[in-house]
Amino acid sequence: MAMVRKKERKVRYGMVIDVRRCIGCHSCAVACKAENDVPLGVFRTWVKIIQKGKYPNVSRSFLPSLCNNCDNPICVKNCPVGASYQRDDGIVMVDPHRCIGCKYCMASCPYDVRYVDPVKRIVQKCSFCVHRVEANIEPACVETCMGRARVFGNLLDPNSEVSKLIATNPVTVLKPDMATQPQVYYIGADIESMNPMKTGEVVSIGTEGK
Amino acid sequence: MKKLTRRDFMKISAAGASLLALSGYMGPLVSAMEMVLGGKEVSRTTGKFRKAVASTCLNCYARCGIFGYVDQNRVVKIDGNPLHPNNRGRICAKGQAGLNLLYDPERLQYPMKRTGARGENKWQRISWEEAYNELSGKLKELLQKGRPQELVIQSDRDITTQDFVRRFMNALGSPNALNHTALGGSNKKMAHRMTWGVDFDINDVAYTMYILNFGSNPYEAHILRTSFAQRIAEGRTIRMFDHRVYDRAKMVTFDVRCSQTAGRSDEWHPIKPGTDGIVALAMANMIMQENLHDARFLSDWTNYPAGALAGHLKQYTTEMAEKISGVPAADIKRIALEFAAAKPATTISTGGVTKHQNGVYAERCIALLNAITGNVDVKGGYCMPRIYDFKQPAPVPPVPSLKSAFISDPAYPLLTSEIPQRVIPLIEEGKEKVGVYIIYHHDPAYSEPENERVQKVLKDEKLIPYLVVVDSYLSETAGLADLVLPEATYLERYELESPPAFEMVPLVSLRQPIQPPNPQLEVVPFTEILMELAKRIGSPMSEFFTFNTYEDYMKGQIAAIPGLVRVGGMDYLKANGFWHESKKPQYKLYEKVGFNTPSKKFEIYSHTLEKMGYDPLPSYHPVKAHENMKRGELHLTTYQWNVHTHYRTANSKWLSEIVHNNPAWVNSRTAAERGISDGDRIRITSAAGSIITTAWVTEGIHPDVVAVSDNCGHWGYGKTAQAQRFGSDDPDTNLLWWGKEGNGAHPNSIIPLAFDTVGGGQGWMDTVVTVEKA
Repeated sequence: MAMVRKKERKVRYGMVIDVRRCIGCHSCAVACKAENDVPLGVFRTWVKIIQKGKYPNVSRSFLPSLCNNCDNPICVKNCPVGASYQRDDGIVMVDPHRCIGCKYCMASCPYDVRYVDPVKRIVQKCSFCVHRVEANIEPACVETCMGRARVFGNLLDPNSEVSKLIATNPVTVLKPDMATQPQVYYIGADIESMNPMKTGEVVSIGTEGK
Repeated sequence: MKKLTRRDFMKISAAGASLLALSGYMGPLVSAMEMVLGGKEVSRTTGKFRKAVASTCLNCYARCGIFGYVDQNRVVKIDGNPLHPNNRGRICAKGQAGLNLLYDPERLQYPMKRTGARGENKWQRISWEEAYNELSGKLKELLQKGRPQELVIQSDRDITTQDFVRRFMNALGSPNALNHTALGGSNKKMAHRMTWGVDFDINDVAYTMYILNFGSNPYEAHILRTSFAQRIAEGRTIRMFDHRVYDRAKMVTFDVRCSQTAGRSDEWHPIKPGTDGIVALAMANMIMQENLHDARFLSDWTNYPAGALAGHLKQYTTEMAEKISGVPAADIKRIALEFAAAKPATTISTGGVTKHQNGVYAERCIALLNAITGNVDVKGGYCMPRIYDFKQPAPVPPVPSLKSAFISDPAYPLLTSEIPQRVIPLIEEGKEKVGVYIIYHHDPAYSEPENERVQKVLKDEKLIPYLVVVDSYLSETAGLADLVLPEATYLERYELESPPAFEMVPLVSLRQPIQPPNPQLEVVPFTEILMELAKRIGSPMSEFFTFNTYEDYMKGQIAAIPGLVRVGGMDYLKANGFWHESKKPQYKLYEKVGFNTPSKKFEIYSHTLEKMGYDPLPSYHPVKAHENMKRGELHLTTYQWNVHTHYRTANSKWLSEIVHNNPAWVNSRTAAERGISDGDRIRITSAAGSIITTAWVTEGIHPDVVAVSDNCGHWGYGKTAQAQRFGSDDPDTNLLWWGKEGNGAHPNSIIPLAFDTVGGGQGWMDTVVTVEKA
């Protein structure tokens, strides 16, 4: 694949998740399973739910999680066989014919979003539903999102919904210190829920199979 | 496709933007919506677009508009119908997981007849011909004996099938067409009928400024959840033109448990179970005292003078309410004043209020808050449901004059339908004789209170000589049946629905087969089973079932809706999935015709209640069972998960992967007092018995309450529901990973029968228990 230099790109896909609209319903997680034939035991996207505070001052936070399709994808760099690669539009992919299931990429991913498919025995991950995106359809999780918390689009188009949301709202990304340049942006995310070491009472099930 | 009624809010919301983009409108606000948000689906392998069939979901009762996508005769994906005005293209995890039901290797595939003793789980496969012959033979016998009332049909609450069951029963001459609505809703229904002549309230949360939530958990469970929850989530954070997100509606939640809704509210106030009514009354008192009430609405549209109301409310001080409910008086006052000042505002209330034995009165107290603040049926307020009542096509069978103890129970004179929890006790006590008992898509052996007693009665061949279960699974109840018939699921059959409209213009929503049932499965819709039985029973019954298919029957219903006929009737529905008049939403409907009550007013004072010997005014009546609780005793409360529907989604692999067990919520203080640590085995004991489960020690529950969800712990139904791995054509059934964690515990065996004296609803939340380490 001929690489377009980053400066010349016209399309760079990314997602904005307005966490204040997330109701923790797991519809995204199940829609993804249906769309991408994800087997039991693994997830491409899920919602982490934490409860925090002392009675009676208790609240809940949700954090929808998926592959950040980073601009500096360390998983791609660490793949010994070139199975992991990045498309010109920024989507990070795994070539199923090249993957040898060595898990180097999984070890290097700071977000724990890759898994070995228990049936196919290769590494898989979220691809922003690339097959849908190529057909000009929003990713499955975005389509079904109950509170329209998830917004997807071209980050390089200043008129896109994602660009406007990023331009006019405070946004955060997960683990910015890892220099991976994640392209999933969060509005109103609870800082404690973003801590992978978790805090508060974790009430989410569902990712235990990961 | 027809254009939507566009409302102002939708124009500025992201959702609206995408809908407009779909319908070809590309204004400046939406120019960047570059991708299609719904209505299309593409194959991952071939890149081809898939066939889309518009229908209506029924994996819970919200009845959202869906598209089923078909690839090579297989339904491969279900998504929301983006033009459906209620759910606007979005569906929940349960809707997505409808595929699991359709392709479940454990689904019932053919009719079965019991061979061993009842409940022994020994079955013989039989043909439909045999099944129909046997069942119609039993029904003919009842008719020959002149005892048609000994046929009892208890069905699930999908509306159209219920109408059809009633037609069947009327034609046969039995009054005993029962359902299980009252399991959740009969108190709510009674409260609203007695107050403003409707069955329930629709809260216009998309436009509201203040949501005062008593015991409702719409983020996880609500009869109209997807349509309701999305409007709350969006109404609270509105994206304006510059895409900045603004907070708007404030949400305050009173709940015994920090549910998903409570935990995301601006304020969560833990409240003692069954005391919501007095908090609402104290708030109403506060609003009247501060003169913040809507005097005009009170004088023009209620039947009780403001002065007299203020006098009645005076007794309910915030201090008294604090003493009873545990909610600080200062908070009650502050919230009351906030609620009165916010325009528009609405309360929301469901199970946490109505599943108590004082549910009818508590609900009336909450409805009162909306009346005194003038929020009744206004935009952003507390609205009447907008629905279509479908008419029975001619010839309409006469309603039998026979009385039935199931339906007209002298203990509950106001009730017009049965109390499902009374059905089994009435059979047990011999008050009503049953010959043939058909249960459709309902699992009383699991779902009803004191379910061990229910099982005993269902097993008793003297009390119930012939038990038939129509379901998708060999449920706990089906396991006790004489004849088990496999139903066609909601993705394989026709039905007409009219879910209450959130855009306030009533709509008709069609359920149609996404794919006809796989010919290898011998499944049949319940409606068609009834039609075949009617034909076999013969004249005069069969004269009411002369249509060839159920679709023809529906066409008869559609013929009574002129606007729908004009655009093409059934053909229009098949292409679009839904229909509504293209008109603007109308509010304050009562201004035209008044309220549907004897006085045509919003009845703060109910003469109907008074005549029956009940308190005519919204008042606080404590739950009797809670008055003499001993030290150390706790309240047991049940709840529902966001990924499950009552008893019936536990065999869905994707849903049970997310929630497969249900540790009991115990407050950390309560746990410490009993030496219980997180993850310990505990015993919960009530007057009806005890269960053993695991403790989840948490800060998110009232210290006097223990909570156990009501959809885990299946002992029948299927292997997935029981967290067991097995081999099948679906590789996932062998990948089930939560076997070690188990499938949780079911609390219904220790919940005693307890009824609201007015509405007859089960007091699900009224069980008094002790909790100890097991």
